Amino acid sequence: MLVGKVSKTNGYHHQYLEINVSTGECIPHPLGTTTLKRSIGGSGLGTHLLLEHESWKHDPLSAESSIVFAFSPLVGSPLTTSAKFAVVSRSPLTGRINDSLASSQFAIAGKRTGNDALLIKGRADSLSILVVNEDNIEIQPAAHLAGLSAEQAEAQLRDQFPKDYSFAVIGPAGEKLVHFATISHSGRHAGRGGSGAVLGSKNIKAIAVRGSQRTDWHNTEQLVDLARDLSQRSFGPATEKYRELGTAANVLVFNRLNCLPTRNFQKGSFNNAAELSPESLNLAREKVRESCAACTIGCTHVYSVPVDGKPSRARIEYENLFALGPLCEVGDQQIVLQASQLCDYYGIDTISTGGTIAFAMECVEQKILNEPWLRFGDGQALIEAIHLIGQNEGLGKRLAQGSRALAKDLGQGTLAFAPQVKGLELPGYEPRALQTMALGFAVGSRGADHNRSGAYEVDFSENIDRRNAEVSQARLAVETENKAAIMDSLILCKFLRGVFDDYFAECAVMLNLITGWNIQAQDLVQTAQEIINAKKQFNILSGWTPTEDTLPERMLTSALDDDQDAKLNRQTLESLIKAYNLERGWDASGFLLTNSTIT
Amino acid sequence: MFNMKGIYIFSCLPDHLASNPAISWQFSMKIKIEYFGIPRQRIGIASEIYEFEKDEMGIQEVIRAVAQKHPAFEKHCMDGNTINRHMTVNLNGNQFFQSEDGTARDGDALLILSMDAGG
Repeated sequence: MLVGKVSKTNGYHHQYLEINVSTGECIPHPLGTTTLKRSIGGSGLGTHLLLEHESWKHDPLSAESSIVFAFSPLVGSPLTTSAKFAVVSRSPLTGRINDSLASSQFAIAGKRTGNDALLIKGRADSLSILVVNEDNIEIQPAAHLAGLSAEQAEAQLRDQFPKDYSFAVIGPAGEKLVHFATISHSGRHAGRGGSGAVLGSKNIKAIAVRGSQRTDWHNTEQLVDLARDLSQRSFGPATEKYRELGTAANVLVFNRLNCLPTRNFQKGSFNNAAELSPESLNLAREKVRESCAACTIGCTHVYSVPVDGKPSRARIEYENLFALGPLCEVGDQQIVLQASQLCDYYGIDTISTGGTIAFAMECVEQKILNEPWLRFGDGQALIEAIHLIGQNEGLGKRLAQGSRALAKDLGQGTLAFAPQVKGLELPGYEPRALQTMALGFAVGSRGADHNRSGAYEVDFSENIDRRNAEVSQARLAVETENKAAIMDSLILCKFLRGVFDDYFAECAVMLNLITGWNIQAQDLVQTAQEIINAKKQFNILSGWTPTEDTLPERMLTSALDDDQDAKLNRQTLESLIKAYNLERGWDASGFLLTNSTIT
Repeated sequence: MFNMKGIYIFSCLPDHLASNPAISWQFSMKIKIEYFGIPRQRIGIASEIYEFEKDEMGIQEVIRAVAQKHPAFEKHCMDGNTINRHMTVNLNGNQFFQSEDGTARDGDALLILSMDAGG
């Protein structure tokens, strides 16, 4: 089907494509400058489109639901780390808005189809490949890819398609609708919230994109100068931790500060943490460092993980290590790396996988779940549980819906220690020891999340008592969310954030050089507020109530086992949430006011 | 041991020696410095004990003593007389210090780490 000719001006095509994979129908929609100024791209644009298509009304795994792949004005520019896209949908894990981001050539090739976003609806008759070119779309059979990992499927697709195609692919878990399945591309993953299951529910195993339509920039000369300067800064001290050690450097720091979640968030430190540190990994294993597309940082640390005598590799991040290691009390380096690799194989989010398994281990320990083989510290049990989740078999069927669903199924008060907010499992930041982050988790639009709220930065700053948060910190939590909302819409990698001297002002400059707009730092702060308002609006329409903005009850009634000073009570959290809501310009319970603006 | 402007540093003592009264009785204040992330990469050790002939001292002063002892630390982690903005210091796992000063006393542990925590 032909797609209309599009403009190619100043960072945008001013068009998105609505694709119905039930019918093959494809509708180009214009995107006006007003909309783009208020949503920018990525996460902001995706949220705007989901609202426009009333996606809150539909079960996320139904044919009627929508999933958006949103690019941004920076994609294709020489700015480092800008080859990113956002996948935005209603989450099967939370029932609320979900936006997950990733970097790869898929962003560049996808934008070159002549679209600022692809919005996919419907359900194909059988497992399919959605092929999007700049002048047509096709839905091709994918039976030959069924059951393959994303990496295996992508390898086959590279043989099958001309070399200028890029692919986004789901693994076996996405096909089986595991609620925290990922979407992968070139070894990177849009990981959290189950976007892989949404794509799987549409019977789409892979999306193949290619195109030749580039957007020009308003001031190329100055943009190139700025890009050169930004790249130079990206080689500096602000990112050296990521380059040399990777995010895994957090393991030892968090362990020392007693905020490394251990044993299903019962403790804040782990005896075997050193075994999982990058320093130990570097000594014990071969490692290569890799970069995402168009990135000068190169934070990806890939370690050798021989399995059954065969060579293989695992990409390691702090979150993988924390969730599959301390959280399950597994300290065996080989097992944790193998577990991480298995999550990539099946295409499942490591945080939700580890969180759900750790929760199940505690339920077993309390004799609420009759699976006696699933014990804290048992590495082989961890591996077996991941296989069951990935294959959606046996106990895996129950685990595949996340810890909240399992807790509701088990009853007996287990919801009190299911490590989730709004259904999304907590990342590796112990909330009682990092109480501004606790607020960030509680109010997060997609649930407990460290990428949409950087409130841990507040906890790690001077003049803050991280174990005794005060309501004045709510304003600081809002600021970190605003920064993240802009980064996720521009889109830039968060690991760049340390290189900016004046974050919003510098972001405004780069956006102006691309678009020709004349926006100021304060305009971007307002845009961030409107993007977050839009996410809240989506959640309210999908059934959000203020009672969802909380933490698991145990975190509000018990101190950490190994740090009695790390305790948080409901009254304190509620005070923080109220202060946050008012700072956002909402009412005290978190509802939008009638004069709130959204993207 | 060497003398720097009235500060006695008994550096690189293994913990078991530093805690030995026969060796350390003459000093009034011992501080354990723990390195994480980039500081550990640059210095090449995880921790060491510093001893000072004082009852208490400013954290920034302790940091300057570390910089004097470890040129690689001074080069990569300092900005003039203070720790650079990509690093931070934590006292006993509790309070963080960066541009502001605090007080270190005998028995304290000072953690020096990279600033960003995102993962």
